[in-house]
Amino acid sequence: MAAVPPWLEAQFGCILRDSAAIQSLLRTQLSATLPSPLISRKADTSAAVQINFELDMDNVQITAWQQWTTYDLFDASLPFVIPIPWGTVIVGAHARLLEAWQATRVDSLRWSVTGVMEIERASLPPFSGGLSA
Amino acid sequence: MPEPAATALAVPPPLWPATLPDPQAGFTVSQGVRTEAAEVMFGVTRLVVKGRTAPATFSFTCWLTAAQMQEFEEFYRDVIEQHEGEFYARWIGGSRIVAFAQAYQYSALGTGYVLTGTLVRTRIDETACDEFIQSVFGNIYRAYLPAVDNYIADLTAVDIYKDDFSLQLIADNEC
Repeated sequence: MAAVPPWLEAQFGCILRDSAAIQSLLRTQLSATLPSPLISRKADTSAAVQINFELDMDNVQITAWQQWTTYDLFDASLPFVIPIPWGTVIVGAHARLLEAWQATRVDSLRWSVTGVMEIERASLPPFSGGLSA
Repeated sequence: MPEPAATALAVPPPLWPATLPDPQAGFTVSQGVRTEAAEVMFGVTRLVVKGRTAPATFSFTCWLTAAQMQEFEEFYRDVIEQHEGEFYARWIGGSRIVAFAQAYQYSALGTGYVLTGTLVRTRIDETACDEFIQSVFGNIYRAYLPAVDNYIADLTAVDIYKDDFSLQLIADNEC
């Protein structure tokens, strides 16, 4: 199996903390609605974590980004490894891009790229239900 | 009307850790809808009680340090694995057991995290108001609707449709 490609921060930069929104998908399932009282049950404990991100890129960086998503990630279908701060540690999380990313022209030199990535819970530390630290 | 109590559990739910802060902002309690407007031909709208035990939801925002975020993640992982996702938070109060109703979210706060979530109350004792209702209506009919018959459809396929086109013909005419 081929190695999972890394996030290339030297070529298209890092995701800033302030421009990322993290959503931990439900790992439980609530019982059906009324008249029974609601009861919570354990469901898919491997439910992913989603990160909405924004990247500020110049013209060179966005060219590298397009090449990376198109060729390294095979049109964004393959997972990649990205270092993210999680609690007090930094983990190399396995992620994949969800949906289409968008690039908006900010000025003559810069682009704002937004998208959604999904983090495999197994690649998070054990305190979040993952396997690796 | 009395406050509905929680049904007793064999194993008490875990408590929100004392080392984690209470919600510092944006704590909102939303009462569940318990009535429904009955259709009337004319006259004033009549409301009927449809969900006597409709649970309240609690939206909250918690500012956590990186260490506290890690502690919350560990606490909630244990809650899921050992207690089906139900826990008790002192800042909700009463005997209210809650579970996350939606995916919870993190955003950045310096080097820390802002945790935003929505909880819903679970395991409300559905007999809470029985005494009151009996005093008014004299009787309660509670249908537990057990299933007595299972219909299993095996749907055996008796006909398989095969077209007459050979694979070679298809291959020859592919774009």
